[in-house]
Amino acid sequence: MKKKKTMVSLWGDHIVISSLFIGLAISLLFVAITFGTIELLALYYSSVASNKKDLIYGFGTLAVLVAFIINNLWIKPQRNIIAKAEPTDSEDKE
Amino acid sequence: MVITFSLILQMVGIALLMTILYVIIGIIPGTDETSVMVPMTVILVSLKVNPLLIMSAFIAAVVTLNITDSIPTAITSIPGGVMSTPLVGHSQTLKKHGYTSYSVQWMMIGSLIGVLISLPIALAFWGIFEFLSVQTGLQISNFIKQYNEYIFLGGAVLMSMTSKHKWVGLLTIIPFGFATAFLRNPNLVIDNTLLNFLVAGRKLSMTPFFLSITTGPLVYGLFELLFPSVFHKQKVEGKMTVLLEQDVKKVRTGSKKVVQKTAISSALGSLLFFLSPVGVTMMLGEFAVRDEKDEVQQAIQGVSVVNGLSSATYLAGILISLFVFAFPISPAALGPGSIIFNSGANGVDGTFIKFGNSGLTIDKATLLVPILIGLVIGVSLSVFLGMKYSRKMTELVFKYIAQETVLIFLFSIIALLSFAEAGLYGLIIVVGVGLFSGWLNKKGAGYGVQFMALYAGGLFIKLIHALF
Repeated sequence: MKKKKTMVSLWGDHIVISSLFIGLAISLLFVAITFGTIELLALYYSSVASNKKDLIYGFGTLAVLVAFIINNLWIKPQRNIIAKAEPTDSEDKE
Repeated sequence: MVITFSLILQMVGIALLMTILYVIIGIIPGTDETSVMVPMTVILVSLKVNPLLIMSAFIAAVVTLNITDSIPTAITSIPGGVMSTPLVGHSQTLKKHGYTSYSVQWMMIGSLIGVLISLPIALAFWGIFEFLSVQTGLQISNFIKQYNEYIFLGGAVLMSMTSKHKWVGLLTIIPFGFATAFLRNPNLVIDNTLLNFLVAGRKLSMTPFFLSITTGPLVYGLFELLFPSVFHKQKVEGKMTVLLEQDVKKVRTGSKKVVQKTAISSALGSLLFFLSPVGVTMMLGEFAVRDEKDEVQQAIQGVSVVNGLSSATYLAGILISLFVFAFPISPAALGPGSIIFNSGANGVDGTFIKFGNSGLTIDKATLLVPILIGLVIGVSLSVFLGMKYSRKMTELVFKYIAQETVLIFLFSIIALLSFAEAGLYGLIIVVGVGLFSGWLNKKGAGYGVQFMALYAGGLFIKLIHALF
């Protein structure tokens, strides 16, 4: 039997707690790898060391964006969309 | 600074990018304006993007977010953000009578009126101050800036007094202001080994604190889930049902009155730039439609006036703070615009604004170019998309963008920025102050009071030094 996901209402929407934390772990891992790589490269290359902060901001943002795309591939929105067409008669109010 | 054609193209490009990004963010339900604006601006400032490009991007984002926030409210009755909360009642009325698409159109028109009214008012305000400066030979903004900590303290008191929870606001000012000022530079107050190790001689900028305040309610909301009682209260079963409606009904009379009321309210809202935009929108929004007896007409006037007001108060607050004072004096500038003022425009010298981070000094007239570019692109694109594709856009965003991924994106950006700024100490600050700020927010001390207390914080440290 498929296990039910635990959901809570947060920021006006339904969210799955496990997806939130797993997704956050993935995203932070990407950021940590970026930090680690730049710190490591800074030890060997002076050009990286002198621009460390800028590189962290630039590649860190890129890492967060990549993680956002990856997370969107596996986290599905918990919304049931029902399209409802209303009566199409035009009404003039006097 | 000379504005080249290539620079104009870059401004247009960045404004387009931000407009598209914030059209999507605006439609996502519940997103708070300050929470989603500040991290993106911090990223642009941290990447040392030209201040003119930042300004163009920021203005495009502000107007777009204000406009698109209202779309999901009209279509699904779920507020797109804090500023669109006053719209819920009116849009439900219009939905009930089958005027959903029509209400979106009036929301767009309302925002457009708000922007068109607030821009000349802000410029007139600037003109009057320049005239007075020339006539009196006094640099009014620099004179006022000498006393800005006192002004912020006064502003925090005024804002608390006009809020619903007066006492919470008033009791927040000193502890919050002192705590944040202490955490920015703990060595000023005490000398402790563990603290010295964590801080490592750093004097923190305002950025981690801005991030803490802006994301505070969200951090606290997640923290609260650790309590079983709150968890069970917020626990839900199954997916959230969203009804997307479409219609073609229109009301053909009363348009002139709606436009007039929106214009007058927007003008008044622009003049009240120093008060909370949500408060002003609620107050004037209710007042403007009170005399209307017809339910549908009242709701149409309501959606237009509220949208006009939210756009006008935001824009006027930011532009007047920037051109007249060069420090944030309105809640809109203190909140979403805080980074522009903290890392960008940090001084006025005659007709010039100094941008500390980049070392640029730009005259105010030149600064109007990116502002107008951001404004025109943000308004025209979002109004066009809103008028034509509001239902389709809402459907796509609701179908493919999960709320979890947006929250993860925000948290990750904040973790990146705070760690890059101050390492582990930065992260501890953002989480700790965020929890405190979120709790205060829940108790009734809004963003405005907290930001003003943060700015006035230095005053409390000076007082302690003077006393002991």
